[in-house]
Amino acid sequence: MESSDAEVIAAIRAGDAALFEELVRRYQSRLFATARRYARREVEVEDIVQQILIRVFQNLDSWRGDAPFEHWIMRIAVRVCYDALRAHQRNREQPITELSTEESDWLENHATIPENSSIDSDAARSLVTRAFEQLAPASRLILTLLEIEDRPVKEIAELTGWSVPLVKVRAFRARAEMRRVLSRMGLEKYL
Amino acid sequence: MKLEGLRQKLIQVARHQPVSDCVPYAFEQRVLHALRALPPRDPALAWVAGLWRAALCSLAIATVAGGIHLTQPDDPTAPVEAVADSDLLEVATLGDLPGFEAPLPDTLRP
Repeated sequence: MESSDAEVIAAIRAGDAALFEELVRRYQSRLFATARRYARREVEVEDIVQQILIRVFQNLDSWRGDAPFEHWIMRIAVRVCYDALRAHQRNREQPITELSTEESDWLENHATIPENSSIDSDAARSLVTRAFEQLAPASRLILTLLEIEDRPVKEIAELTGWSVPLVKVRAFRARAEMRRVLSRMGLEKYL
Repeated sequence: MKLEGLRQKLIQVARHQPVSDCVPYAFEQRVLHALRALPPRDPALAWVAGLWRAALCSLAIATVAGGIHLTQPDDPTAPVEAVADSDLLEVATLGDLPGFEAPLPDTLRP
């Protein structure tokens, strides 16, 4: 029978550091899925997940066991992803490039009959990626957690360490920022 | 309004986009290797970091308190007890009144 997270952690705390591999195996796929929401390249994803796991190992003593280990590890994951977004924003320029023909076609199609515009097309996915890359880190994080992953506000507050009112304020600002980004990308002319 | 419609559509697109959870081969080995390569944590460093944080917090509180103190207007109704030599202040004030003659102490009376 597989030992519980608490048992594995107790053994690691007692000095059996090699057992950390077991924890990594249990959670790495969830961490990779989370990191892929925020990172652009696969190399960045691997670095983020490694960073999360190192932080988990270093702070393992602070897990008290009153909440499931999964919640605790996801809290660290979200914070490391947020730090990565902020670091990425500091190092990047933000050019807004021309739309491709496919993207223009998708937008024209959306402007004509919004209900018929496909949500499965590569052009639409590319537009989303471009819009999200222009957002401030806090806006991107909050829109991902709230609107894409559909998490409740209270859970987001726990994951991010922000208060519930702050989450609501940031969500409101993030929606407004995304509209501004879409306008800056010149998408208004298609509507 | 139309931009909000487009925004919601794009969010719908993002929501529909599958996110891969696949893990590179032997990733756990890479993590364990990175953990072994980490320098051991010095407990003194944690203390130093804590003290630095406390010092910065104290500085911030002192700055805010100083700012509040300096920007507060003087209160004219504030009690005069704070003045160290309040007796002298009182005599000087009474002596300034027109037609007021300060009584001489007994030792100076003719």
